[in-house]
Amino acid sequence: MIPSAQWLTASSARELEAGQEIATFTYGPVTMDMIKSYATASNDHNPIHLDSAEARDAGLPDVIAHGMLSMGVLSRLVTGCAPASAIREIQARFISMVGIGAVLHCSAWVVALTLDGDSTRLEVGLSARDGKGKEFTTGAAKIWWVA
Amino acid sequence: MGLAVVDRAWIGLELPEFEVVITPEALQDFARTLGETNPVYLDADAARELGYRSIVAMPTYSIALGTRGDFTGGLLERLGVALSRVLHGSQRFVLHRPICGGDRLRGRKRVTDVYEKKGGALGFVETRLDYRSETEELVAEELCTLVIPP
Repeated sequence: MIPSAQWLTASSARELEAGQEIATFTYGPVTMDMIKSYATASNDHNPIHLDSAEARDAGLPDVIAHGMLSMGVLSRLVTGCAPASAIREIQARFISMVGIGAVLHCSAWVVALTLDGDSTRLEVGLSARDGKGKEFTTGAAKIWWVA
Repeated sequence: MGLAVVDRAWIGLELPEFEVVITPEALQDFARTLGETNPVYLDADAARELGYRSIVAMPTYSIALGTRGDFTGGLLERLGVALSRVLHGSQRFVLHRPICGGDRLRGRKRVTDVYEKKGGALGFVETRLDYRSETEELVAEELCTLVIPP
């Protein structure tokens, strides 16, 4: 469901190689509306995401997006290429803050592929970077087809 | 030595258990907000055709269940730490099966570790939130690291 992603199945995943990119897309530029919408959908109304004055009081230049918004965006790399039932784990580290206007260049690549009988276990790396390559959020996901 | 920002006595502290019913509408809203286009996360009929009970939750959706006001589910209030001082360091979701619309889950959150780095200048609080079904089946685990700078 991401134009650049190939849909993975238990058998097509077995053909992947470590380092191979499996999905990319671009999200943004981030707007206040996107942040407000995520605040409502995720039930997280921390004022540093919603109120410029409160964000400045907390020492930030302006409001920032929820780290979890960037993780949710990264999760689309996985939901766009693998069946929901195969997605076993997703994790993320929030490296730098995502402000208004930020564009997230997202990519997913193969970290490891483990074949065990008819079971296929795929570990993918995830990252969201700005246009110059600086990391916003990095992560990993486990996609398992267990026979 | 500065004042400690975290206290190892917090380890083991548990928040009251809560129950949630997953609504298809909330799953749709969450998926739409992130720009998701895979119909499994947006449309109950499409999800059922693929064998799921109803709309499937995005992999990070359960974060919306445990936020309950602030993003730590009221933990910071219990610890006496101001929300504005806390950074979200990292987050992990372990999914034992997909969460679907109509699921009724019980969530239990506890502090699993507390430690300091940089000579006590930076505090870390790790939490774990387990979601179980009505039949006590472990459905999902949420592991969170909070960072408290000086």
